[in-house]
Amino acid sequence: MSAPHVAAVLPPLALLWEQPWLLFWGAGAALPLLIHLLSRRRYQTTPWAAMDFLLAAARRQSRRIRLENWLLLVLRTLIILLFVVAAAGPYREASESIAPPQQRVHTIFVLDGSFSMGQSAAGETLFDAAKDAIVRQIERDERRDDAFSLVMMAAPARAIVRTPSTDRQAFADAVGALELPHGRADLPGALALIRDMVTSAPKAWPPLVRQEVVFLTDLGRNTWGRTSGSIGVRDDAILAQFDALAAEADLRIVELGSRSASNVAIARLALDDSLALPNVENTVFATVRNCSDIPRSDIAVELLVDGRRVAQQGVRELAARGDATVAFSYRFATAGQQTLEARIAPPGDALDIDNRRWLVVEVRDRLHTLCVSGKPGSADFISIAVAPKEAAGASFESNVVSPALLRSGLALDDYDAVVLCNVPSLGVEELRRVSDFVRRGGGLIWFLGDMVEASAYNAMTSGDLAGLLPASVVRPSPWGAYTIDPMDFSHAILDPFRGQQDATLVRTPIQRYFQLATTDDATQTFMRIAETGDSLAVERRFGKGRVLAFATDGSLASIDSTTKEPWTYWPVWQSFLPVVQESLRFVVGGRSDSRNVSVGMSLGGTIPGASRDAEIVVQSPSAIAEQIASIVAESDGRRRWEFVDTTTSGVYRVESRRSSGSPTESAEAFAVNLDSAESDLTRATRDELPDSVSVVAGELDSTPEGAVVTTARDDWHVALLCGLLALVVAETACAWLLGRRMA
Amino acid sequence: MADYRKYFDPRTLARLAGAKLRSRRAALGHMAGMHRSPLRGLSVEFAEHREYSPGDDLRYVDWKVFGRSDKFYLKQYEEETNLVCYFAVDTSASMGYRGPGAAMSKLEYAQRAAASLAYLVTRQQDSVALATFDSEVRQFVRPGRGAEHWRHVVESLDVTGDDRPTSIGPVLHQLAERFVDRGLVIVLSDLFDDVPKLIAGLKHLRHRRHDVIVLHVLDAAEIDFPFRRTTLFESVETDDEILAHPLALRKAYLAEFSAFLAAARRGCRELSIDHVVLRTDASLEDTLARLLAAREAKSA
Repeated sequence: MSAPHVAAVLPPLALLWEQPWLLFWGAGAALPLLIHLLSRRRYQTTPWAAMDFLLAAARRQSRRIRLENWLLLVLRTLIILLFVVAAAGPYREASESIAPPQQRVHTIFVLDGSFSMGQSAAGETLFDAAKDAIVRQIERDERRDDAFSLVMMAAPARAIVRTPSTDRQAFADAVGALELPHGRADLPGALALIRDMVTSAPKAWPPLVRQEVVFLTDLGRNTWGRTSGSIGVRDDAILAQFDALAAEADLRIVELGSRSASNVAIARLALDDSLALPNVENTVFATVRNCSDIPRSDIAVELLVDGRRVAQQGVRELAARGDATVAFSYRFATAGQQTLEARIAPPGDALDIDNRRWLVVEVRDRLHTLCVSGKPGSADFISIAVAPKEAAGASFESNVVSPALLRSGLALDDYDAVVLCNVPSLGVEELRRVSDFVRRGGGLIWFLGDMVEASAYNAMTSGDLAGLLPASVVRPSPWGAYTIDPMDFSHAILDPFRGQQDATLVRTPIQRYFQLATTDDATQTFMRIAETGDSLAVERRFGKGRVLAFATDGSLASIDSTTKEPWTYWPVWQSFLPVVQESLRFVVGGRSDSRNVSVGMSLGGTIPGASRDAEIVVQSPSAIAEQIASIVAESDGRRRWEFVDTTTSGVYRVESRRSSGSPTESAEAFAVNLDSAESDLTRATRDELPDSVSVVAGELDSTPEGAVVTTARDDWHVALLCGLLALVVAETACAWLLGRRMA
Repeated sequence: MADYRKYFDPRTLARLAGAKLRSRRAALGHMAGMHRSPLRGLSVEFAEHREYSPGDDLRYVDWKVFGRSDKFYLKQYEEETNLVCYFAVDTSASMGYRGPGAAMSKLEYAQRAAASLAYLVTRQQDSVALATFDSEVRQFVRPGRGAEHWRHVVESLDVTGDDRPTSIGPVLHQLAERFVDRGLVIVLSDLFDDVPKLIAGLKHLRHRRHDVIVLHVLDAAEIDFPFRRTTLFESVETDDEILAHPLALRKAYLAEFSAFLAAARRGCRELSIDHVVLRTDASLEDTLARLLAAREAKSA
């Protein structure tokens, strides 16, 4: 901002007052003058003979006396005035940063990196408009000694140009190279980063005179709002951050775009069944969300599979702030990885980025389950239940092994799920391998029977393994006749039983079970013992996989020593097969989960083969060039890759090569989707913003007509009180000197 | 006709009873008295011997010396004559000032001093003359002797201060021309005039071989400037007035006044004139007694 423009925008002495009515007491400033005049009216009269000497003395002293009298009068008047002014609480708000031409200014541009900045206005996105504004600003700046820094307020916040730069061309190039991430904005992180930069800048750039921080943002409530409940939530800590920053730099927000923008987004894309099978009718759900206060109608939603448009559905009416879900029926022709995409066509709203959503589906023609039998016969029923002979379009296979085989180095990644059937305990090595397997997206099911050693199991409920067993094991229940409470069939595993509540599942006979104690809120109970309320089945996530535990046995092998009866007849009950099947589908869904992540989450997998020269190449949706994922070796000798730069939504294609330049050996896809909360373009109001920040609506270099202009608050209290103190001291000194001279 | 007794303070006269007012210089008078005459010849007091030369009057040959030394010497005698004491009293408006707490004005004080001294001179069988003045000579009483003349002088003294300003310098020139016989001139005034002009007037008097005493009559307030409250000072001689806080002006005023006093004192000293400050708050008899004693001591 050039100085002449600033002068035109705001008069230098445009003050605001906290308690303006106190200014009326300013009339009291006339008091010293009145007292002075009154004292001159009250005098004695005396004739005087030696007038020549008195006149000569007066002539000699008159200038000094008048000066001293006026000085005292002015000082006393100023004391009253300053006191009244300080009490009235003056402060100044500058709509623009004011920097005289001779000052060197360090400007930190903070670019909002939340994907709502992708909304279009006047033919370009706000993000591009912000970049253009920054470049124009540094080109227009006439103070050649000014320096600039650049921060991308994404999640996490990043310093693009950290050290103050006076190389404007390089700075403009850095700005031009920025691309809008598809994540949210981390305001607290950005503030901490900026504070660090502001603190260190004077050391890096000693000629610095003043610093200012300019936020270029759409002021989305998700980031700036008081009640967003997200990373941008306003609390005392953030306010304190703003205040601390305002003490060292001028803060300014340039609000970009329009407050009336409307937006519709694809908020969810999911399959009805976590286990997708070929040639089976699958239902794909796409949820359309209206993020504005205006109802919408006639929204077309297209479904694409591997880039090919396969279906279209319409949403006739969509209420303000409402959701509408459209369902597509689709039959996967073949097994393998397939990419689904739902999109709004044509987009026709302010923000295009969230009009698409992807889902990578692993269509399986084979589901391989490993059953670990802790006791002879413990896995018999389960192995049959997880691998029924008749299954549409896919083959279900199960292997039954002993715990010893698990310890011997069995490759768990060849399996989709592991079922531990009444296993007494697991050694350290087995636990490590099982936990790694689940962390990578594998499924794990526990059945607890008479062989279970509670103490060994409970050792898994703390440390790195916490969560591998969803609940701690307390003790076996008393012998009794128990039935199942399905808890309103609210869990997806119990979907097949909905509508037939009186049969099968609720009558399942259970005589003994292990009492479980859930350890945290991550564990969900979806079946209880009806008579006692104890948990019968619990599940939770562990890493990228899912873990599920049943408190009773999945076989008839657990025998009560007193009655010689099995703990449960559930394995031969009608409900056993569907529950095991659904449980299996549920736990193997973790694999699919790991292929569908949100922006900012890392991608990863196991490198096939043992080649040390293997290369993992990632093709991101926005990158022109391929990127190489980092490779790490794990303790079991297997090698894994990881890719963290998922800043853009879309489908990431990962290819593995035996070595650099060699043909692709395998390829897989990952869907990276937006956090739909950011699709809400509602903006924070001025009341929700810190007082220490000025807000300028419009361009960085101008203040549009009628724009709401509030300013960085510059309190004058301290300066005025210091001035008042100085005046009191000066008045006292003057009066003392004068009195001393008169004495 | 004024009552001369109001200037006739018994205490003052009692205090001055034994004192004598002498001129330090020889006086030229018509009557024999206690004052030396510059004329040699027939007189009653021996002055010196002179060797006889032909033609001298043999009546003055000192035969006793001739009998002892066989040489002719003539006796030389110094004639004793009477003193003319001129009182020049300032009656200008400034002399009418009486400061806060003062018992009398400067003029009243000067009148009492002049009356007392005139009485003393009369009692010495000497002549007294009086002149009152402001910017010019207002009254002149020719020299005379005796109680009757003294009363006339005192009655002439009895004037109230007028509102005319002081102009003592030119007046002293006039008086120097009018005081024909050499004698003692006593000036009673506050001397509020231009000091060089004052000195010039006194010089004229000294040029006429007068012994001059300046009795500088001042009010205590003029010397000490004791005012503390804001005061409007109105000039008693002119239309000037000044509203001031006295404390703010006091130092400068005292400096100005001290400079004036010092200049007057220095000018008098250079002309061998006695300069005596009479504070109106001081006892008149004490002041006069000290003055007379000092002059006696210097004459001895």
